[in-house]
Amino acid sequence: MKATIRGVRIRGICAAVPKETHKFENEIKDFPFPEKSSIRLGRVMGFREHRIADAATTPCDLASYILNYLFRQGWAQKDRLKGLLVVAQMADHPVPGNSKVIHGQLGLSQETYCADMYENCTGFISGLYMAAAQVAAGCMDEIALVVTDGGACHANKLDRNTYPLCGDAAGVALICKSDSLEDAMHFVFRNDGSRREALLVPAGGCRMPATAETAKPERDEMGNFRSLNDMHMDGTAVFQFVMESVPPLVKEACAYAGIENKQVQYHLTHQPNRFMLEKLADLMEVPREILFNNVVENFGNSSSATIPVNIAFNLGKRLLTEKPLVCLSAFGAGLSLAAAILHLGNMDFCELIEHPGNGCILPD
Amino acid sequence: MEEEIFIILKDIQPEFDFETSTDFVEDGYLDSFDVVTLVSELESKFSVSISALEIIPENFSSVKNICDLVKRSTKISSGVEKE
Repeated sequence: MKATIRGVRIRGICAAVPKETHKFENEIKDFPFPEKSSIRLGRVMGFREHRIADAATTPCDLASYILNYLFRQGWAQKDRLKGLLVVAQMADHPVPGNSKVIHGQLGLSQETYCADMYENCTGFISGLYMAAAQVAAGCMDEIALVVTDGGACHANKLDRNTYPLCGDAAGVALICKSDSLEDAMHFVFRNDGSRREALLVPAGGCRMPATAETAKPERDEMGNFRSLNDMHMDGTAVFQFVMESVPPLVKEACAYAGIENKQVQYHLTHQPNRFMLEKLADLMEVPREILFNNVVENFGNSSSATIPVNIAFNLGKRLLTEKPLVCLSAFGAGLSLAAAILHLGNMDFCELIEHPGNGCILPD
Repeated sequence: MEEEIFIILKDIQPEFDFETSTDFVEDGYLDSFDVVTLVSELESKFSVSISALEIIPENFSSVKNICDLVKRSTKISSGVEKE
């Protein structure tokens, strides 16, 4: 599916990560592998440290903390926020949805439109498409796109293939109307549900409800432990999918946007691990300097929140005064792919902040 | 080169006997994360850049296949890649 949405821009981006840092070097002893082997793998993959929220802090707490920060900074007005679109794969409760929880935590107006989207790693781009479409349709002047996620609760601590790379984070992007002809967003989406088992949490849904039995961890042939409640990843299948699918997707997005690939100034991708991103940059013949790969080593892979974390961490100050042509791209569970070409910048704010923990939604 | 590759493999998975295996991946000696480590070690040891499209199980199933992969990979010399 391809779509172009004109007359819409991102007015600001703010991302939040938990303050508490978990060091890979301290986790190595938990993995059922020789220390030397884990250190070597960590060096290649970018396992250094990651941010995991404490038990009292939920995806909604992270998101509400950001929105409250924006209100306090004067970058958003609580009484003028007309829409809240929350994208996540984790929820505070089965019922109601995250958007209603955040609405209640912040005491937003009863006039505020609230909606939830379940999405995985492509969530920021899918959410951007939906939010931009609503603004472009004239439904509201501005909408807050919230992505809040993490992989920590789906990863077994004894699984060296998934736990060291996961992290928790949230991001908020304010999407508003624009009169500038430059402000157009070109989207391309692809899905292949036939390969959905390559990234799967088998239990916990209607097909296999979580039970004491599904929670029992089992050792795989390589020595990792995981239960049916944990993330199962076919690393080979995912790697091949990304390498075969993402370069043509980006080419297609560029062609659809009417630009040459080399005109893209930054490739702001989802952040699965450093090795995959280095190989992807080489395959796309893109300098590694414009396809950042440092989010996993600093914060972890937070699914749909990695793109706002990537943007705020790597380009935060620059995007306050510059407006480069960028390609957002994401890939993951589904298996799914998404890309967007847009001019991103001249924003009112672009910042990465830390959540202090204990569920707090109010900044100091 | 084969001898050096055996040393790398033994270093990554010391508990397995790679010399008797007919297929390292099928036999469960190497998972996808071991392959990542192996690629990094091969690139460093032999100064090559292995294409992402070559990182498929078949290319890591035997020492011969790994040798062939290294030989056809792009040589890196003084930071300049040559075909």
